[in-house]
Amino acid sequence: MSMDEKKPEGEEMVSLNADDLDVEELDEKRLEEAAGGTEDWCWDMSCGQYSAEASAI
Amino acid sequence: MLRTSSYTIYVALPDNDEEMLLVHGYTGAYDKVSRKVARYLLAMEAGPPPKPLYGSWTTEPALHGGNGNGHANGNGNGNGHHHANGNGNGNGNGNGKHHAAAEAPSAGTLEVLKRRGYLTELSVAEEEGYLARTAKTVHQASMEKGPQYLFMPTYDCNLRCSYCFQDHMRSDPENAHLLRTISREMVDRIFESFPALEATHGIEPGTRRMRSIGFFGGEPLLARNRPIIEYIMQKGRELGPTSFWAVTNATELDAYVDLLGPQGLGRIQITLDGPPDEHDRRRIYADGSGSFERIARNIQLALETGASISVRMNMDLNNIGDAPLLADEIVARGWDQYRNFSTYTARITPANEHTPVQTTFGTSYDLDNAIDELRAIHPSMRVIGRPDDGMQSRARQLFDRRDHALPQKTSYCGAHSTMYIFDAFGDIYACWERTGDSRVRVGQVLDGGQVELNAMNKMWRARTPASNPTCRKCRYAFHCGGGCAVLAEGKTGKFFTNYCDGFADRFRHSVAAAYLDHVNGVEVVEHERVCDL
Repeated sequence: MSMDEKKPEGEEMVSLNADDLDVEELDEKRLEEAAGGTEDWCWDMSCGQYSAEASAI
Repeated sequence: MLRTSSYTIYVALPDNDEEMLLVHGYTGAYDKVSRKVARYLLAMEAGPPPKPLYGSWTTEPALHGGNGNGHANGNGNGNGHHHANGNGNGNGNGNGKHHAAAEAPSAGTLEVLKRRGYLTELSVAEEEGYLARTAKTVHQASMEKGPQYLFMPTYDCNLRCSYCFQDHMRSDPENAHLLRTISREMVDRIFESFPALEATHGIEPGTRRMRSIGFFGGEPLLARNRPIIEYIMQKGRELGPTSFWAVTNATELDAYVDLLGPQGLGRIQITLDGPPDEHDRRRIYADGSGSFERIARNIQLALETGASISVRMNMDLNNIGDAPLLADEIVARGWDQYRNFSTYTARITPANEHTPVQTTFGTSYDLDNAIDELRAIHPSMRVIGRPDDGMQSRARQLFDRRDHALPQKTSYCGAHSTMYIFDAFGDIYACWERTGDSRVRVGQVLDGGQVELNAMNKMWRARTPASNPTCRKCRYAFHCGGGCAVLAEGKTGKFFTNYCDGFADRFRHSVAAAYLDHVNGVEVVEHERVCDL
């Protein structure tokens, strides 16, 4: 376990990404990302599996 | 009433009975929590996940510490239910009790759980409605990126691979007409159609945009096709910045060497189905002779141009055992030392009558696991990519950078959004597995570049997680996109159904493995993957 993730005694939850994430504020970001350019679209050569892999995870 | 979001994903960590990971299916939150918190969330679930379903997406790891569930692979049997009070192996009948007493976490933790989406005041129906609305909105926004184009210069091919989904095009005389090569006049007509097609995506004529033009077939890069390929590339460049890519068997790629490279045909996928002996049993010429050595020579030529080369291996139960020999071959030839070289594996699906289902992997997760087992024994297998290495590496990146990527894969592949495939007849298709039959085209290019899109186009572009009642309820929906429509239709007879391909197991395994690599500081090996360009 890396130092920055060491849980203090009694800690129940450690965020692993995006500390400032707030479910109430996602919709606008969502549309920006969805419409953002063409370069992030990954053309799948495996026929399907990762066609939109840039947005998978 | 406060409850656990229907889109909460629980990821068990191997050999860890005290903690697990949570992932939220639409907020993109990743967190490590104590089992106490996880148990609380499970107890706050509104009920068992819906069933029955094809695949295993609902199977979440059970949480009773020390009972053998500390394995990231999950159980994968498709009948999962959650049980805070649990009764064992996660393969029950969906009637588990969900409101067993569970100690609430601290007020601070509850607040964070709400902020990151794991706890919600929305009802189950309201949350499902939110997911569906979001899927539609995001899908529409992603359509505005505009079309990407794929040319099929011919359905003809110089190889006769037994598992080919286009086998009938070359073996059935009734399809002989398909084997012609696209004419310059048809290429002109197709390029003239681009403004009309782009207008359907809200793109004004004359807008400068990066276009992507791919080549697929048949075999697009037959030596005799070079003049028309060069012509298409020239036409693309005249329109503006364009990236070019191809899926080719590479048997005649030497005829294209001067067109390859980052400024030309920049991304090339080439198939090798095993070491020389095995490959030469599968990827054969019409006279039965093998193709490995010719392809290998051309891979070497192509690598030296700087083009990104992705070697695909079509795997089934009969050739998986030979994968280490192919790995040795790759290492011996030094291809793995090129940054522009990568590999990946894909499972063969029973796409024609020559491919018995009992010789194929059931899901991509089965193939993942088979490669994991081989990697444990053969070090050279590190150069053979698993189907889900990409998913794992992106999760790793997310942990390393503490990044936030909104899950919003609202379509499984470009067939449902912006891909337009043109053949030699001016027919337009959405999916390359559904080409060569004008009855299923999504449109056609008419004289003068006019475009006629039909109801099939609307159908293909409308398949999102929102269009399928199963996907709308699925906690993995925005990571998976609903699965392959062709495989779903083949299995169920219905287009708007899901094809899970073991996605839940694959996702959890990828996230758990990425997290462990992150905390253990496992070195990240950077390779230019085709999809990273």
